[in-house]
Amino acid sequence: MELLQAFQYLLSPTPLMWLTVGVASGIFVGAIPGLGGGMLMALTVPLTFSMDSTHAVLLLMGMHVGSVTGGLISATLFKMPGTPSAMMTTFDGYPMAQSGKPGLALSLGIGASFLGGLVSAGFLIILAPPLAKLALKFGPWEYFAMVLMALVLISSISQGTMLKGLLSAMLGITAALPGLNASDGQLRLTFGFDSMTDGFNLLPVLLGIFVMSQLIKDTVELNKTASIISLKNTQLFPKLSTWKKQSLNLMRSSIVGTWIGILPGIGASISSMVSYGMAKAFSKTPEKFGTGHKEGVVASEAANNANAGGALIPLITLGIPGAPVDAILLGAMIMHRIQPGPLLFQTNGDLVWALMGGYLVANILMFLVMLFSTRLVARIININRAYMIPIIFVFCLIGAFALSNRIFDVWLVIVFGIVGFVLDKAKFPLGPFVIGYVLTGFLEENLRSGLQASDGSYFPLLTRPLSLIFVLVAVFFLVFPFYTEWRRNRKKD
Amino acid sequence: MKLSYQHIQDYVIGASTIVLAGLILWAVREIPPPFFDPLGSAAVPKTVAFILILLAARLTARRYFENKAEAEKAVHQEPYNLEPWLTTAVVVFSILYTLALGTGLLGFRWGTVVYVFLTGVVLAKKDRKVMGFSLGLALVIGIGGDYLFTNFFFIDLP
Amino acid sequence: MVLGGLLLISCGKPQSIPAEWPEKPIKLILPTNAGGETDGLARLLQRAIADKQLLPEKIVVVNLPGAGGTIGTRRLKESEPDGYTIGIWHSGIVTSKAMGIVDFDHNDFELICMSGYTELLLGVAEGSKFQTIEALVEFARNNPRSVNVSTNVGLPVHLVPLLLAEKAGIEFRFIQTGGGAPRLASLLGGHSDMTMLSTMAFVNFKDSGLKPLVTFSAKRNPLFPNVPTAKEIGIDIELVEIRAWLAPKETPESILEKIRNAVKTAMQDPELAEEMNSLGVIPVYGGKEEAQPRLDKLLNAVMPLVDKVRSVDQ
Repeated sequence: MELLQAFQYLLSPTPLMWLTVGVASGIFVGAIPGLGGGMLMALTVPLTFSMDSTHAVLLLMGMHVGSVTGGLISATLFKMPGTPSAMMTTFDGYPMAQSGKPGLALSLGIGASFLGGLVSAGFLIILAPPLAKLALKFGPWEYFAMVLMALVLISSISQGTMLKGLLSAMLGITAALPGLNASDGQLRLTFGFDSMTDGFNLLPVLLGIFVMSQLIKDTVELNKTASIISLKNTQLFPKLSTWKKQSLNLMRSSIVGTWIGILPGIGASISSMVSYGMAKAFSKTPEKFGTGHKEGVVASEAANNANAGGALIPLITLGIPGAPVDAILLGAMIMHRIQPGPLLFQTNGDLVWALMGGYLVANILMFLVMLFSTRLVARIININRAYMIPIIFVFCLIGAFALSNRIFDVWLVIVFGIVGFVLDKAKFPLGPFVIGYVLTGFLEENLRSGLQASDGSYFPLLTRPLSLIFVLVAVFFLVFPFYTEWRRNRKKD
Repeated sequence: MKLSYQHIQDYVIGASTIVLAGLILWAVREIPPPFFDPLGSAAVPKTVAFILILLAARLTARRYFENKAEAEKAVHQEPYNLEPWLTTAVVVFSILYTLALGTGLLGFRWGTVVYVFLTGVVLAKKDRKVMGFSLGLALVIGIGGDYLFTNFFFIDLP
Repeated sequence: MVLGGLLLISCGKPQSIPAEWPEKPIKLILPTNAGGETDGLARLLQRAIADKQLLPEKIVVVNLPGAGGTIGTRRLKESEPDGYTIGIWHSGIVTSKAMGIVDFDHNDFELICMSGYTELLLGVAEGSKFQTIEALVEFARNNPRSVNVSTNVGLPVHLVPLLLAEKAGIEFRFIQTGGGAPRLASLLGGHSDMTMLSTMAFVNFKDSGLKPLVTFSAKRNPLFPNVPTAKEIGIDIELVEIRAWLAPKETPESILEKIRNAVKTAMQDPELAEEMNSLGVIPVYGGKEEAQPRLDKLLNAVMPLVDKVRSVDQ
């Protein structure tokens, strides 16, 4: 009943308008590499001071949902993730678009995003409190084991030789090492430079490796990209049978995305990595991943959108933000004197339902906006590179600079861009680089926190039931390929 | 014996990786022994450096011992001309643009106008129409962006 | 992510003391992300000063997060002492020095004033086996390194409990967990026994199952009349987390005085006081003479502590 009232409220003109403004601006900003939802939300918070508090939160939530989905546009069309969480979409979305099916690649991503959003909205509305409690059971060891498992599942993610993939991953790991270390407050590998004390942040590294390197590559191959990809006579929307075939993958990716969203302190980019890895591990055709495979796009996009809904669960029920972006949302709520938590359900139940329903409506709006603009947006793929290349760099500069108001982060974009270009040229896959970079800090910090708690013993990894399960799955998928090969060889003899 | 382009690439990357690993090992010596946890901050970088050396050595060795003729055959020519000089120009422009903003030589507004226009001209490949449009775009992005970000969103642009 | 200020074209050369400061907007550096407690406080004050026109030019907030706040504090320290760049930070200015991350502390700045403070409390989860601080200290004394304290290494939330352990002659086991939200999650999930949070966190998350055990303030907090102060249980610690306004060294005293007056007048507004309270900041203005001894005291307390801890575990 309360939910119905909430929808009645949400569909009245003013809240609907703010949601739409949020979603549309989120999609727009999310699609621009360099600018992301977090930045947009942080910049918007002070502008909402004079607004009605519910409207303000709905606006920000719309921005969040829109930007996560918007990221897939540039990831698919230009191989430049518009937001960090869209990076896994580049692996299959871009090859699919390059093979002459940009519309299909986009609408597949949009559909997966929408369904991922719906699934997580379902969990949010029906199961929020118990799920949030369950998420608290995850301690450092569980985090460590889960991400370790993900790493095993994604290994050998893209083409190229194993050796080059490994070296690329290790170089990515190296990029995550410098700076102030959280585990013991120790500075390391700064080589005496004060600007290195914060290490290399996610945004500039990602912009460099994926966006800047691609800009350089596009310039080198200017004569290739000048060829126009025809949009006539190509399939624009996936057939129903495609969705049926993807249903299992969709469900699994949405649940994985929601769950990782619920876990505090682990963000959307990791959720799409884990879900991509799972999709690949369970796929009948794992070798097709990275070549424009539908499963890859679906896994990545369903997960990163579901992640947004999942992250609202601990935020609303406990007041603990599930992802860094939600910390901005929490800050805005506190500014508007809304304190999320169990008490909110009693003191301001209407608001709770409005927030949960708002997330659902935001997803529907996102779907409608994207759906009607797919045909138009797909045309961007043919935009003249003479306009696109300088403008995207300007946005990278703004985005990187705004991170901490320093030009150092812009230099990082350029340096990592050149590194990424050189590696790519020499046939080193860039996927493992970024995965290594993103997961290392998380793995090291949780391992060391776990060891702090266990006084140096590694046994909790095996004695804690959840972490044991993750370890077993990881070992299984590590050994399984060798086992099948061994059996195949024996059969031959 | 003539080295192929592929060989040189891999040798250079292998060698740079080993230098990088060496730098890490050198910098790690300054990290004090573990005090808040049993692992300490030096353990992971050290391990990473050793693995880097191992992998880089393998890469270099494999290139050295492999069948040269086969490696040459694997190289396939792209069906279009590459643009190394144009690329150098774009990268240099981007560096100069960043430098100009970093040193305060140019503000965001005019720096961006100049950068977007010049890069557009270089990439236009003598197409006058594209150049003209680039100028318009440069003015819009430079002046409009400056207005939007400083007066509306309050980013402290250089 | 970051919010920023307004376009400022700094010409870079040192200026002679202007008679009519300020002639252009003033940058207020915040060494933290947008959206946090310190950020909220800064924006409230910024708005109040602008609304009442306490300064002829506006103040713009520039967020410079990173490396435990030292990216921002270092930038502030290296800025021109012309009064157009100032900043707000908390006792992280002292603990970063103690941890050896930077080689400067509040004495390398001009201390302008303090705009309120937060009280610090140690707390546990509701169903914890420790229902009083005495029980916890007693248990820790009999079982060294068995009480898990979730923390953010190197920041006050690490060094203050360490100080308590030192004075009580006990030893905690510290677990790196991160900011306030992960620490709360760790406590509620049973991954740690105790953590330090501000009054506001204890008020807001009371219902989520958070229970304060001891406060480091001089007096009991009226919101938690049953929670003793550290002094009452025989541990000689009395400190609060101040929000200090800082300027680069050698900023003219006349400018500092103008800023002091603006902040002081702004904070007399009952509405602002109410808003600061809701952020968990106790809206008490203090001049340099009040801020200085608090930071000095903390510095003297934690400097020897870190060296000791680092040598113990080797």
